[in-house]
Amino acid sequence: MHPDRTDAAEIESLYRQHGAALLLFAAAITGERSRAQDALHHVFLKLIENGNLDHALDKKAYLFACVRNAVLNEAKVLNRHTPLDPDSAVFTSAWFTPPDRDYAAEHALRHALSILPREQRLVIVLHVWGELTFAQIADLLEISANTAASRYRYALARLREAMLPAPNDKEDPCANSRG
Amino acid sequence: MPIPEDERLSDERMKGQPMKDQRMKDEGIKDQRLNVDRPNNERVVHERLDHGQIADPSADHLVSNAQPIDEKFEAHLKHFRPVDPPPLPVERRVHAPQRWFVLAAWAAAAAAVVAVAVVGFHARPGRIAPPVETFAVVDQLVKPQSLTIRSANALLARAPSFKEAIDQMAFPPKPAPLPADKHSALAELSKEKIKL
Repeated sequence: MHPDRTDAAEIESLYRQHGAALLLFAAAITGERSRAQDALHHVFLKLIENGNLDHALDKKAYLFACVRNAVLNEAKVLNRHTPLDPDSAVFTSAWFTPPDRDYAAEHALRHALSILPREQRLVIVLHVWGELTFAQIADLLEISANTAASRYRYALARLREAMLPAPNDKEDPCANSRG
Repeated sequence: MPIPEDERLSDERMKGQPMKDQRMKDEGIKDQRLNVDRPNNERVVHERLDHGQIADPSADHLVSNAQPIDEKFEAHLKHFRPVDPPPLPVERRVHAPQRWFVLAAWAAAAAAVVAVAVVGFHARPGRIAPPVETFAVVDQLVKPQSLTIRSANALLARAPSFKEAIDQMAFPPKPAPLPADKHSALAELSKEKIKL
């Protein structure tokens, strides 16, 4: 084994730790879960074969950057930039395990995410489920931290709006959140 | 991974600033920055919300403080856990040497069993080709009636002693000789000289 290479067990551990968020992030870019999985596997297999994570100060952010690059490179090779189609996103497999098996809410969230502008969708996925700070997101997406925060607020507002039940429908679970 | 202190502060500042702006708004304090620098700032916000597209990305930082972060809704979203990805194909590859070892062990065991069976088959006395000299007694070995439990019982019942019964079982009497005009095929065959 090459002395500079990161241990495969450590990379597998990172995969188990961050795989779900990374997959969601890739799916948020591609809109296709299968392509997202391919990109994710491609990144991790490459890391296991000849990767060295020791130079990465922030391994988690580095992994998100790797996945993003893999997805974008693959799209470049295939010369296809498929916009995320809300209908296809709705009918594909679930992206989330919903609380209390509320699959209708999962469906609504997936649909709400799919209709967000891509820039906002990426920021919200990275911050909420990737648990990256705005500074990390800014580095990753090559934008300012303020821009990342701004996109996040808009995305959150739009998601809330999209997921809110219609008037006279069931009670909003976050009804008190705005004071 | 713990969030570095400076980044956490930076995030908290981003979340805290809108609260301040909201208070200013509630208290009727005009934000000079918004009104002076960008009089149409509010309109820009509404356009962005209505169309869902960033009309002017450079204006993001100006509108970023317009809304507080809805932390309860954020927490609600976090209850949705992203689905785990399928296991890495490499996990199977990592265990491959162990599987090869098991397969090799099974193959070796199977080969050993086959070898033992072959050796055992050839080593069985009944399977060894009889020497030529034994042809003469072949017809003697061919018993007209094989030894069965019934015949053994009959022998034991008829024999004067146990020893004699055992002797009869071990050395049965020769079958009745063939008439003079008849020959045993085995006896004739045993007379033939076989060149080896």
